[in-house]
Amino acid sequence: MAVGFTLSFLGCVLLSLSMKRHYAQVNRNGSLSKRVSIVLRVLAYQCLFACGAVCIQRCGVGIGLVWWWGLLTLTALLQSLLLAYRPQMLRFLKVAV
Amino acid sequence: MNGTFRQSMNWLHTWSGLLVGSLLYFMFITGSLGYFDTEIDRWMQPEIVLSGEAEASEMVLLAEKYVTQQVANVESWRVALPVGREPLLTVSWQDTQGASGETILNPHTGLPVAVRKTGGGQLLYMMHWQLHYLPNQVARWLTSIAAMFMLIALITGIVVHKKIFKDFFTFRPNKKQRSWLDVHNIFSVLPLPFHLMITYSGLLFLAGSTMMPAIITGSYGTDWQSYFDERSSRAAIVEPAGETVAQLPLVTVIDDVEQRWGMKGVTRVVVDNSGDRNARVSFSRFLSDDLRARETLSYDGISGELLHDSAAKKTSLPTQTSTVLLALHEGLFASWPLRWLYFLSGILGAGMIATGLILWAVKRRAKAERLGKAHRGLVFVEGLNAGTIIGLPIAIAVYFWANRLLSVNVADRAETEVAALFIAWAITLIYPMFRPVQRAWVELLWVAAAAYGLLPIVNAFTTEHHLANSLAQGDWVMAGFDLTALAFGAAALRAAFYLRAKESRGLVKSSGKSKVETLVAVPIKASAP
Amino acid sequence: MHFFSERFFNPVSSRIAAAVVGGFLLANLLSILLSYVVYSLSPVAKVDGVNVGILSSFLIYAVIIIWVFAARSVRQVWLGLLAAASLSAVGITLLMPENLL
Repeated sequence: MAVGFTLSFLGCVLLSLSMKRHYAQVNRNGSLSKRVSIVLRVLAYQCLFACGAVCIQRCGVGIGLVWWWGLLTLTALLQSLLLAYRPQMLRFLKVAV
Repeated sequence: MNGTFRQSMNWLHTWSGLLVGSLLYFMFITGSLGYFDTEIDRWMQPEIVLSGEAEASEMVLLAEKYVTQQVANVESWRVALPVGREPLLTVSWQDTQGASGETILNPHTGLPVAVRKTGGGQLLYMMHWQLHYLPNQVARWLTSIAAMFMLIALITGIVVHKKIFKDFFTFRPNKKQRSWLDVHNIFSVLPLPFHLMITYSGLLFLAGSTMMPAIITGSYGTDWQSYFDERSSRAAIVEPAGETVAQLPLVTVIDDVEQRWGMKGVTRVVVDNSGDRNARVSFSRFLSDDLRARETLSYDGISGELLHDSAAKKTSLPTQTSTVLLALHEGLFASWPLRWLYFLSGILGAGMIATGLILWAVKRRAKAERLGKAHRGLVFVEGLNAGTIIGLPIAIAVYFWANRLLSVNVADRAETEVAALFIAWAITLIYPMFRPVQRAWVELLWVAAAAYGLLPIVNAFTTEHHLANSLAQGDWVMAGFDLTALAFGAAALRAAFYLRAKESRGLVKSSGKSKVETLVAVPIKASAP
Repeated sequence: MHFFSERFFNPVSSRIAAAVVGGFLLANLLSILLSYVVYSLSPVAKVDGVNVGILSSFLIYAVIIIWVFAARSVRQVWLGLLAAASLSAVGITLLMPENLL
């Protein structure tokens, strides 16, 4: 489940960064081009669905789906808090982008 | 209605939330605790002897011996085995005269264990739909109606939320109303699948006994038993034939169960119509990898023949849908990490309701400050908010304190513990009437911090299962409870400091002495004393 | 008297009554009708028809409540409820299983 958690969290980070408002929170100077935004968003959804696949593969469809949505909720919450209180922790991603 | 579609949905959202918000908060808090009901039971009954390596078949036979020796004219009895989360070996029975009883047995010796009487975590969980001090049917109606309001609030909330995707991760602290709205949105949208599932399945649970019995009656008339039999994957219930026949000793049936399943996962054994021609014995176990959670083998109690295997019956799609929804609500299938995720979602749901109520009060208070007068309804809601949102957790902590502090032999012990809970809650509800509201919040938070933070210390003084011991023994149930209590205490403490800092900076109004002059100069009439 | 009737029989309370009472009855009627339709007109078992009815009932009720508050006028609300209820009642009488009463 650590894999699932990581995938889900990564997905949330990428998804939030694909939005102008949150990109600006992390990356004070740059601006978000449409292309980068789309790339980020595609990657994000890939991560999130990969998380789902991992959960379902490990626990079967029923319980796997519950894990998936539980992880999505938890990681989305963590990401919101991170963006609000410690956006600087995500600065390293500026380099990757 | 009032203007556009969005505006009328906004009105509907506000009122459906406001009218039953406190009740829903109670339901979400007690329901969330319910995901750890057996763990809380164990903490509240520290005398129990853990089963360790005791064999399931041995325990069933010990229970059989106990019942046949102790209960004359037994009609039906059941054993709940200490498997998985369940720590206790419990035997309950009913005799032909209508008397009933329940005993906790030592899983190694089969002798009764003196365990303090308590409602435990089970009671907290059951209050989540049965409430307390109310007739069962009344409580079910109230919770059903509240759940219906919740469904409407969820749907209208989704309709009203304009930027549901854009604002998904948005939280802007320190902005008064905007921050409260952000938090309310996050607590609502992020766990939205959970909220929708839990509300709809909650309604389904009580549908037959409250809002929608007509649907069953419309096709089955008064013969509800047929409906239950056709729907259930369990064997049909049979009445006693009235003919006394010698019972087959359980050991024969246990052998068959051992062959089919192995006795290891068996959670429950039920004997119906004991001593009668129509005696039935059924064994149940949990499925750890399936949402449906439980399967049962039913045997003829005289011949030992397998009559019914619940796994064999192919269930239709509608039945599967109901079963899945109800199973999702109960989360019985969930391993402990998943259970924590359930608990988190439930607490977020409680937070959604709390922040919604606070948001309403904050908005109206801002308007009242501009106009110079506060509506009595606003004052009432502000007091109710503090007394419920912080008061209920305090009351639950008091319930735990009572469990440790009350002597084991006190009469009506379980009821006294619950009474302590409700008395504490009543006090926290009345308290904000006598204090400026913002002060009341801070003071209640201090009390909550103490109530939860000191709980492990009370535990240390009254039992041997205190934190140091339970960590050393690897007893994660006991340790987990104490650690969670500490965590809640710490959170309440942090919140209290934070609010007090805001107050002394003059950003928050409170009448009474304040070192910094408040920002709003308009005098308020008829506001909180 | 005029004030009294204005205070209690205003559009909002009318809609509330329509939603709580009228909507509740209509939701039940529609759900019963749905259960009849499901098992009368398809090879589905009776218990499954009833379950479909129960499963759908709260969604139906929620939709009705939202419609009651979103509809343009109070008259529309009551007329709509009455029309739907009458049609359902007709449907129910036609499809009701024989051995029921």
